Amino acid sequence: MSDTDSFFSSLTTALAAAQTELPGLHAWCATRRTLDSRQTLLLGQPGNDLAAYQDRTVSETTYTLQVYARQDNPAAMGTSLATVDPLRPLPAQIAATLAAAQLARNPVWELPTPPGTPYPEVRTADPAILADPGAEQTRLLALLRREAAALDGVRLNSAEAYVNRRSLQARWSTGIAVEKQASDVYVEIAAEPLPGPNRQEVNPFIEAVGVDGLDLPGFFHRVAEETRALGRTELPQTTEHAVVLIDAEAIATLLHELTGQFRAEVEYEKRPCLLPGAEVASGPVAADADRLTLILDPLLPAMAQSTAFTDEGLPTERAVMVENGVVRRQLVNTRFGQYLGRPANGITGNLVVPPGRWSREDLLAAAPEVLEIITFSSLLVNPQTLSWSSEIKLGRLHRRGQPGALVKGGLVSGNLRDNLRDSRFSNRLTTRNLLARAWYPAKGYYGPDLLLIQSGVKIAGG
Amino acid sequence: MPTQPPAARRLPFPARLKQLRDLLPELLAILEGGREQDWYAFVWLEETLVRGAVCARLEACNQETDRGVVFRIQAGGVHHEHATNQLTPAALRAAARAFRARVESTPAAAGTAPYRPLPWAEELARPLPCELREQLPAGVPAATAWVHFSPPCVRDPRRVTSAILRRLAAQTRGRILDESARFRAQPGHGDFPELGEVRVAARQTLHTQIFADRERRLSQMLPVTLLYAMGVSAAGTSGRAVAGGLGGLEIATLTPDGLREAAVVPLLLARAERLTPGHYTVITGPDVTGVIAHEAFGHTQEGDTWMKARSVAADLRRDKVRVGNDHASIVNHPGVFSMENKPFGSNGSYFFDHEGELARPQLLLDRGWLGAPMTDLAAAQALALPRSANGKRESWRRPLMTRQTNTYFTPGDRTLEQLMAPVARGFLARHAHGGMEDPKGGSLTAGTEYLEEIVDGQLTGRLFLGPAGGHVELSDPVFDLLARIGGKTASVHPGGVPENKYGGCGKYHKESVDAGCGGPWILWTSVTCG
Repeated sequence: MSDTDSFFSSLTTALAAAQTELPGLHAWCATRRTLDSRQTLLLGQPGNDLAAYQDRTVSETTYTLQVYARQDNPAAMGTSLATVDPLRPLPAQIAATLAAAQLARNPVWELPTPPGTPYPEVRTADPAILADPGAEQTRLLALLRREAAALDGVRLNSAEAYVNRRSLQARWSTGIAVEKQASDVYVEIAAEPLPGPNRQEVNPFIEAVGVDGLDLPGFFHRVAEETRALGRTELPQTTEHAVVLIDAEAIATLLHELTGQFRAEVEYEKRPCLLPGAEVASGPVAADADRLTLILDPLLPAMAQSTAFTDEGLPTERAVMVENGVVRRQLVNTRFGQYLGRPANGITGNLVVPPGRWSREDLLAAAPEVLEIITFSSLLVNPQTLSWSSEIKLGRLHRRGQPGALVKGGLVSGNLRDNLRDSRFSNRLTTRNLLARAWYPAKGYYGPDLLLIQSGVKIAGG
Repeated sequence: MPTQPPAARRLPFPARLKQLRDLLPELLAILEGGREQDWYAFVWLEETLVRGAVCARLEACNQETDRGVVFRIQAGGVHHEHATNQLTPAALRAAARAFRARVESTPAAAGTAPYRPLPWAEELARPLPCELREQLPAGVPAATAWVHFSPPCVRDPRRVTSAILRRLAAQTRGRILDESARFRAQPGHGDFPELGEVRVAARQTLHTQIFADRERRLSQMLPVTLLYAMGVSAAGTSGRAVAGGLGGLEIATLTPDGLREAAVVPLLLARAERLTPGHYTVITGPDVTGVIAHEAFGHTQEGDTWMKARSVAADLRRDKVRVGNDHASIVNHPGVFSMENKPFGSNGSYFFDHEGELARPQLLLDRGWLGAPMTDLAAAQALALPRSANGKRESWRRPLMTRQTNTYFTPGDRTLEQLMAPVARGFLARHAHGGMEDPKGGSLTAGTEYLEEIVDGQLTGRLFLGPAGGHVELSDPVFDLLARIGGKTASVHPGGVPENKYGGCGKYHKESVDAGCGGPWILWTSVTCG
């Protein structure tokens, strides 16, 4: 972390001066973010060698400022966020940001002050990437090539590999000052079975905080198995009572949207929300179904949502959000806590679900027909209604516990709250890290690797 | 072309970037000086200014400036890049020298011969859309002359302030709330509850992009304006309206239909029926039509996907397999600067791509027969195919890929009433809700917010959500779908460019870029809906 960034010092100094000179500038927050990225795009070659065709390095330092403006008669508070342009004078940028903040008229709230408790210790970065991201990218590419060359019965068409070192420094006018370092690694491959030609491929990706967290041998083993299993496919049958088995990535996607309904701002904005005491299932839960327990944990080492501090710079805390199907807590930040008259908390973090009681074999034999969704084309979840749907990119139909035909095409849909009326989690735990994208934030998940859904799933197929 | 309003003006190159722009030739010389025979290099500088305001129960404003440079050296078969936002002249010179030294020290990979950029004289020997040609200087530009492009704007984006955007958002929110109240005051509507929330965002983005290689120096300013409104009922059902595209604030006005979509539709959807999953006759509007075009033979016709053996289209074109009926024609057109009855283009438009290739339209699918794919430089060289202006990146931080610009079905010869007339029972799908490609498997999925029922050629007024109460997905194998086009509506645009909607694309779930898509109303005789 650079404590000697003179521009960041100039920015905070200018903001402090502006706070005394500009009427209405109630508070501010300044951030400095850095990115040091290595990016390689590769083409498959004979013998599953991988040849780079794009090789990139990226070096970024970005500064932002957030201004909080307060006005009287009537009392109102506004915010404006701006990225700082290092090529323009700072006072003019601060004044422009203040002017924009003064346009927004919201109820007044007080920003948090420095916490009385220490920040927890959390590992958010891989030491090897922090030391030398270029060397780690070189190592990653060597590992990728080694695993690719060992593939049997599979042709590797392409791969992408990214190693990123990041840092964040934030200072508030209230005295809060935090910083952290982070790292992440992304690998994506596209493969098809030999000899071909094929109309199917496997195109998975894997993300972790460090290269070793990827477990590339395990990843390639799974990809090879999945790729070799590709073959003739059929459309699923149309039904309004499907039983489906979904994987950890899909579980994380669904539960992430569920946690959105625990946020205090959703209640304030009068959108659908689940308050403490509410049942997460939409109705009675089947006798032998698992009742959801869901924990948010920011302290797990080296995961996508691990962090020592919240967006407001307060210490994070772990919390049981849902216990045996009942909502226990609400995510309340300082602003919405004051709006709703509730104490704020620092709850955030990775999704954690305890293991279920069932093996994979138990789950596949739980119904006469179980459709295992291997890959969704695009699993979209409505954050308001918690309904979801997707085309089935690849699935496998299991009859009485035995694997049957591969399934491709057709549409599967459901509603998470209906699904939780009859669902069963596997007893095997896994970790998934999904880094932030343009359209969704980062998601970390530690929990069962499978979920069997026996209610509220419909399929449009043949 | 539709007549431009008389006050429309093109945007000149911004003075604040002149010093940086004029440094680029020096940086290019650092990158490739003395190696022109075996290397090809370019420099790319981009600046994105965003100003926005959001009005909902709570309000906020934002102003973003993002600026970065990309150095590219193609050496052997590898396109090396270094990108940075440390933009002082000294830092840029040092970065260029360090990058060149890195490439010099990298063992040259065997592969494609270095690209030889086209001189202006050769470039201009090929057809060029009039919107580009009319902005070129007279005669053949010198390799050292800067050539600047921008679309005409009535309201100068450089003069739009946060206050103007905040006022637009607040007024639009007020109009939606008024419209919703009027609906609830109508006889028989008294038991509809109030909307839970109305969120309106007004945003203006101004992209300035500069490209320099040894044969050409280009710049373009692309103002992208967006007015987005969403109404949400207490039950969570929602309706969205979008006005926007390539132009000034004059294009950010919601139509009466758009107002109703945000004000009334969320309430109606809270009582909508749920679709029984199955196969139905569907008529798609430009929004949904465009997503089908984009996912069907948009992604499948991306050159880098061909290059990686990840598209079914390469084999189909080689084997001369027909993949659609006579109505199945799809175009990718980077230079959409007017469309249907609108004097502006979509947010997917530009004058040149991120590798300096000038915008030209391309027929991807001609009455069911596949054309050549879109390309970026690497894909064009690997496939020995012509370049097209489809080399794009999310931002200077991310790698460049073959990406779509504006993808649309060509128009037909019918009216919407004529398309609906033979439908005994079916649905109208107006508003898109995502989509996803499968270039290898040849399937697609396109979402729509809801379906409107058609019985005996008439809309019944009944609305349907998906089987689980969410949006409705439309999906089928691409070839089956394109064989079931029953008709298309005509276009009033002189160039036959139908409406292209404001949109974006995330290739393989990442790399978000602006991308318009559209087309006429299309009748599909059977689509799987669920």
